[in-house]
Amino acid sequence: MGNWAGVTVEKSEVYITLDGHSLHIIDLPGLYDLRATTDAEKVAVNFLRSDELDIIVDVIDLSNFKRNIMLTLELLPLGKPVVLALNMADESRKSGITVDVPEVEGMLGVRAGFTVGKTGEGVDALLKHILEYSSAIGKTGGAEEGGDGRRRTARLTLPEGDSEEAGEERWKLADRVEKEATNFSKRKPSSFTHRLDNVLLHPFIGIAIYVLLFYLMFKVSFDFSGPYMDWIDGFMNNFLSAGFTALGTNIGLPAVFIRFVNEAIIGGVGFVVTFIPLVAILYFFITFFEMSGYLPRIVFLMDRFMHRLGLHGNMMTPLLLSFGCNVPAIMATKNLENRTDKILVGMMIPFMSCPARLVVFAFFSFIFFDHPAVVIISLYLIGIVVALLTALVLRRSYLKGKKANFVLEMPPYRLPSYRTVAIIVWAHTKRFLWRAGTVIFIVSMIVWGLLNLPPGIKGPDESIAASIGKAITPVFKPIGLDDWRATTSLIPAFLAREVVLSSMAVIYKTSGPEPAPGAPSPDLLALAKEQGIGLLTSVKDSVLAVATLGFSSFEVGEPGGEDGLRNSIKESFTPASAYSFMILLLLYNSCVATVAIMIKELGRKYSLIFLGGSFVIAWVLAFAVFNVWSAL
Amino acid sequence: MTILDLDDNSEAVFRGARDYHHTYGKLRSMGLQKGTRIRVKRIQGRNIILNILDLGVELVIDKDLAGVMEVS
Repeated sequence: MGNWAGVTVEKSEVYITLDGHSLHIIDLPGLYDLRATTDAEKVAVNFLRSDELDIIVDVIDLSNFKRNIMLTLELLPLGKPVVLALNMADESRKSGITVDVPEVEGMLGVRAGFTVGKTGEGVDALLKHILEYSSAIGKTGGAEEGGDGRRRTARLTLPEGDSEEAGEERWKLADRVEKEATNFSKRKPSSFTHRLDNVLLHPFIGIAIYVLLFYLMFKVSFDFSGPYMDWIDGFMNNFLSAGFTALGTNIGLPAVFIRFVNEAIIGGVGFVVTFIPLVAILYFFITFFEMSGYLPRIVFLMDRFMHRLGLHGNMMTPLLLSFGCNVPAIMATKNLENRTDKILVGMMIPFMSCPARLVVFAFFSFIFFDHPAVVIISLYLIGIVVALLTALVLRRSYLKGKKANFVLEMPPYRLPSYRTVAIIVWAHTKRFLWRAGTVIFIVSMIVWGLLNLPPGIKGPDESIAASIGKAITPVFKPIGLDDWRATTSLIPAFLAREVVLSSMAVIYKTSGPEPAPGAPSPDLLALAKEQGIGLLTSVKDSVLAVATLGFSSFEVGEPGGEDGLRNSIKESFTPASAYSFMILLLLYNSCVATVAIMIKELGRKYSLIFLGGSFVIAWVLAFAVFNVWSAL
Repeated sequence: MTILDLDDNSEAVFRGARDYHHTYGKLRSMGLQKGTRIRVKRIQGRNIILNILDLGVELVIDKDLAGVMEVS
């Protein structure tokens, strides 16, 4: 239970069928009690007080039994059957903590069982309790007292209401349950967290370690994933594309269809898929920091600095989450009590770079700059600085307001379960893949279509896409973008940032030759063998790359083949215009999903203000950077 | 005496909020109940880390809030 980073802030639901019963399971945001002060807590409390549920499953953190039971004592008077999941049972066993489950059941009038969330231990028994309650509800229309499968009577007299006196009464009852049903009072507190905090919370050493950890996060993400990204790129273009061309030509597929698949699908969608290793590794680090208990420490360290800007440390959590994705970061503002704070942080979040923008930055930086990692980090820093300046200006003008007090729980450090981390990383990566398979796929097809229409055109510069691109180019020419291909790729970028690359892959490659009928087929077996060797080489190279100090870099290959796109981009941009292009993508909005969630959480007015304002900021900064750089 | 008057590593018993503070309700539900023993783990910047000894829970509160939380 807790509302620190990564924990549910909205309802999430799943339907399952078990032994012939249909169960609709709803996961709610965490609560300390039923007095909701944040939007996330209101979601949970409103649902719990409604008639939409039949059974409550209360997940107790066994390491904090008494405090968690306080919520149980508030849930019981709601009149629904309650099943207690006594979670983190593995850690409690290691600490020598014992719980008399029948005694807890008798005192509270519930069903209970031990669980271990990260392994799934105890879930079957829990489901059995739910089914027994469910059967009783099915037979009688409500869980009545007495007997197996029916709600039990609590031995304790439960206070109701949320007065201070009721709270004190519940505290005494929780204390009694702890003393009579557990041996918690005999537990020894862990000194590991205390010793580690002496270092990680130090005002200077702690900050230095925090900076070092983020440097390592970026270094390992780029260097370890680089060889794999090269391999995937080669696989797509040298094997998949060549193989499809050979197969399609041999079975007589129309040449235009072969070109469509190669350019829009393999070239467009496949190009974005190349970046999956980078995205997955970045998500691994962010998830690890969240689950280890380190994220609240970062919030604590940064509070002093945030306070000088008129903000407070609690705002750091959504801002840190935004490096993973802006959408859940804006959703996490539900945990802020004050609406002014929520709007302020919501307007800052889209300036923080996310993996979708990172893939574009990585692509351009490795083409144009000798020290690409430095360029990428500079862009991240620009985003952070613009976000902080936005907060400073808004706090002193339009969004003045009383700051909420800073209250934060510091959980103990835990070594995250690698299985759980892997599940979460896979969920994020799957979402990235889903976007590649849907939004990017559709956009790639549309862009390819616009580049090849109207029928009968001699080249892409006569297409509908070119007309649109040329029409908007005057707006972007002052910031160094005077190529219609570059400005055309900005349009789908509004949907999702990574779409820029797939669109460019389609736009810049569309002028390539059609496959010639009767051309010799490539030796696919030899190509497959080459890919296999290439993969093994990538594994070796990725480990070696991490072992070096500093950042390694991609090598820009020879013209043509899979590096034809990179060379086309090199001809279309200069380092100055590439950097200004990246600034535009960094600062102007984020993606359509971010806009949608901003409208939902902040309202239409502030979302529109942000869209207009962020375009102006992005354009002005890109203009300044391009012109100063070009003049040097 | 309030939490703000305590030094690093000093212990005390929490007695409640001086004036009812809207954040006090949240702190109560997080475990800072009247009669609980607390220790000041760390005072840093404008914040104080408290260890609620009876629960083994650590909370961070700012000094403004600490100044209205009474202890003995």
